[in-house]
Amino acid sequence: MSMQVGEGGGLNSDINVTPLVDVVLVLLIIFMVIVPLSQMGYDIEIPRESITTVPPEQTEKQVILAVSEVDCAIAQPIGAAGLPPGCRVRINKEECLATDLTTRMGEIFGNRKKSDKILFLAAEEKLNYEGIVRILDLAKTGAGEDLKVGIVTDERLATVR
Amino acid sequence: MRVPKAAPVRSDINVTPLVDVVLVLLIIFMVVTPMLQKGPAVKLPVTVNPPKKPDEKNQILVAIEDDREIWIDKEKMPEAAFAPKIREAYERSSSSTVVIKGDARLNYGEVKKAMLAVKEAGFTSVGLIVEKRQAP
Repeated sequence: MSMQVGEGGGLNSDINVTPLVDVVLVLLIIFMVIVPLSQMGYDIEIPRESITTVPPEQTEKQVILAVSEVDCAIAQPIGAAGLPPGCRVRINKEECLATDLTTRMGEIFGNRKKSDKILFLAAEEKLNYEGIVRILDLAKTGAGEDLKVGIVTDERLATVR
Repeated sequence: MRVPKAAPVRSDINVTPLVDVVLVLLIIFMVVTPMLQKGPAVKLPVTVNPPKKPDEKNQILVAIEDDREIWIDKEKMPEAAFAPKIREAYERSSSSTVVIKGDARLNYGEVKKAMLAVKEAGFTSVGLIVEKRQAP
């Protein structure tokens, strides 16, 4: 009793790559989707004591970025429009257009040691959160990612001129 | 016996299984993506180039919704209950990192208040989570 072996269509000695391709494509797509979803954000240092007075010997090094409603009207949610045109901030009381903030931050922090790269953010509380984060983004873009940001507890520093 | 004439050999790649797989994946991700955001769905602020903030294992997620309800991880609470709860969280695991997901429509003051409460609890650093603006 012998079974007749069919023709078999010729022996196929190639590796079957179809499952491999399937798996690779699946992985590719998974990573394509996951990467932009990874969490992004800014680190904020919250010092133990609030900064109410600036000691005179530190004034040269310390950089306070003040955002007030008079200079930058972002009391309403800013939405997709972004910061209003003509929005200004104050760096140690010195006025600066928000559009120039990135360059200015680069000038200030460009050749500082990492330990000196600290920016204090003083903003009025009624301002829109997203607007403040956008300004923070501009500052961080100019100064580099190792810039530390601290928040100033005393709101009055935001409006001081 | 007459062998039927074989159909002419087709050398095209058979794309049907490929298309099947891709379509299935597309549907899976369409369903899963809205669920990927942890915590409540807050409308995050959008910035141009945020640094990466890797999701750490023992991270405490604080989300502040538009209506000022605050979430710590999966627990919702009114604003007033936040300070004691975050202090409790600090006592439980002081090495955790805290990240805040604040709604873009909030006032800075609301977020600042939360940051100060986080500070009062004992944490020394907090992350503000944002969304990267997609290139136009």
